Amino acid sequence: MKPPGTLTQLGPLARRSLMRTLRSPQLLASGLFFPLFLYGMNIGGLEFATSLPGFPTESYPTFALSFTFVFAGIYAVMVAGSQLGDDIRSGFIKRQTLTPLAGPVLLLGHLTGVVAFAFGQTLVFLAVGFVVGASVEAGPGGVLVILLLVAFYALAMGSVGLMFALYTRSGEAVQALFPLLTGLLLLSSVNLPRELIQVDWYQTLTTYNPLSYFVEAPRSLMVEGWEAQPLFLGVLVTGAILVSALTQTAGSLRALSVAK
Amino acid sequence: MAELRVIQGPDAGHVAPLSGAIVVGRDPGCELVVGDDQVSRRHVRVVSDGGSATAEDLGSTNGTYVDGRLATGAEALRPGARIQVGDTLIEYAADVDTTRARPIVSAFEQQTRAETLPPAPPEAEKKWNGIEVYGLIREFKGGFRAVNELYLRVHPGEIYGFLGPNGAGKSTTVHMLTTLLPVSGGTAHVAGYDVATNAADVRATIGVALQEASLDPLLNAYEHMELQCSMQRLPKKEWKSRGEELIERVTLTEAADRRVGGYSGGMKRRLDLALALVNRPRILFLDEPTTGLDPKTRNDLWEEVARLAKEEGVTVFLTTQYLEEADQLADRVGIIDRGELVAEGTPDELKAEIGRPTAEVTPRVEGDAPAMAEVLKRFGEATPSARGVAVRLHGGADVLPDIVRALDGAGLQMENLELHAPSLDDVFLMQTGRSLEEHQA
Repeated sequence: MKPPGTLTQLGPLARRSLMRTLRSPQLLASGLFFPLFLYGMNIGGLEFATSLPGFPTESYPTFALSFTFVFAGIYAVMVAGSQLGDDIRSGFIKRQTLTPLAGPVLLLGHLTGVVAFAFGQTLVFLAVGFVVGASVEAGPGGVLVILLLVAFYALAMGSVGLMFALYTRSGEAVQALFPLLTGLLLLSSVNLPRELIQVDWYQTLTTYNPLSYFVEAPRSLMVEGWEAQPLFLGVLVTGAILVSALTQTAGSLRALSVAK
Repeated sequence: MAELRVIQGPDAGHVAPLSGAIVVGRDPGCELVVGDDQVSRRHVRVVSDGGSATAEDLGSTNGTYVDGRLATGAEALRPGARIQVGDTLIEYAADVDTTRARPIVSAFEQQTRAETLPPAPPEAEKKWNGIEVYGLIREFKGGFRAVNELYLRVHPGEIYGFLGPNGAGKSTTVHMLTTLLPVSGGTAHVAGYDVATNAADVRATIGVALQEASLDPLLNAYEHMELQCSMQRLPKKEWKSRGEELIERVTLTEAADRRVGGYSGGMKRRLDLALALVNRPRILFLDEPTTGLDPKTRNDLWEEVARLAKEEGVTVFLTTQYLEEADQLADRVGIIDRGELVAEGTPDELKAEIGRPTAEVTPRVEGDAPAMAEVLKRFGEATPSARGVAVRLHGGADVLPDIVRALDGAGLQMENLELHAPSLDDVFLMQTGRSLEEHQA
């Protein structure tokens, strides 16, 4: 009988990663309810922003929904990083290291589970958004692209989580990134379009904040329809983060298998 | 002056002074002649310039190994380096003070050296299921040596008990032998493969259950098995049957669909063992597999390990700090202390080396123990024990009546008197001056 190929090996690894999230009530709650709670707070408290001159839409639920998508990306950092960190600390990684499983497949397994969960999160966020009045200007095709974009965010940010886990060898250390990334999200264009920010330093900060581009790509599909530039910038920034994180991660992979 | 000492082979005991260059071989014209038919006529040239020395193979048929590595040119020799030619092992002794008496090589060291064979079996012997460790060293940052020049050999199909207290270097050795930790010096071959250069081959051959059963608390046993089967690249059609077979073998079928987080320590250990067997390993490493288990679970695990060795021919390298485990389960035992092997043999051989039983006396009045120890000194080395005083007797059990009379004569009353046959703890005590049981306490 033939040994299984990489894709066949990937299945149980990805399933494990997904199961670990779905079977942890606290992870599930923080991954779904926390962003929806903040989304609710935003649309309840910042509705007035739509009356600002130049605000791109009259529907704040539509404008604000991008926050949840970016949160799914941040959440991917936590899930991928803390799962790998826990595996390193508990010694589970040694079991995997002692098998013929290639290191990249192991990491891909983690990422596939994380991306699958992010996909599910986005479906829930979109459904809740539609219920409270959000819409997607780009239509069903736009919904599909949003799903793909968030999956791409999760892949890139999940890689960042893996990179930190390999570096710190601790799930807790990766979780310590959460307040940092949440702060970074609040310093992006998540609450206001960049052009409407009056304070110079804040506008500069949002311009250099990569999460602004995470926010703006799906937002453009929801508010403007098909706009090439925000989509291009979103994909470009995400791709750069992915390549950078994977390069670093590949370097750290040796630590998983010390004596080749 | 430096010299070459033959420490293994037909000419063991021969010594050749090393000044300038000497040739080792079967040819009568060689400076060091060895009668080993695996050695070429002119096999290796050893050159000393007073401060340093090198060994260079002279195109021999079977090659020359220096500290376990095949010599490909003029190999530098460290003091104490071992040169392997055929079945003959030669030690390079630098700066020998010939005015002083030769150090006596202990019986154990001789035995260890005598068992040291070429560490790189030829291709044809790759199916060999043993372990050979040759001068293995693991040095951590700061220069601490957790394992210090370890020499041992595990024969195919045997259960080798690696006994020692916490921190002795057992787990570090297992980590090196299973390729999880790089070696700092020396060589080790597992199933014929060098752990430093053939890690993938070693991993394909072995099963490992480390000290902490590293399981995912959120997965059940079936899911663990599926994951392990996929990682071990078993054909997908086998995943279910192999998983069920192993789960049944470790008697976990009833709990197999429950999450592992709810398992007892024994159940986790059994699952860990089952996972280590997924790839049908030829050599199984078990790092303290029964630590913290209740006696029944421990016995069940011993039975399974013994069955694996006897019925399936699996070689088992088992670390333990339990004397009883090494005594009952292991065919041979290596005792490690502070990173060095201090004794090796079958449990019976090791205990026979001690040869002397111990009498343990429990005083009726607790405060009498020191006085009893004074009286008992004349029968052997008296030391405080958990129940009173233990005396390692100079002679045999026939002195027991004398002990009773002596204590009676001193007006000291006994609660109990027990005679213990020599144990592995006595062996440890003899080799290290410390008791393994005290370590455990």
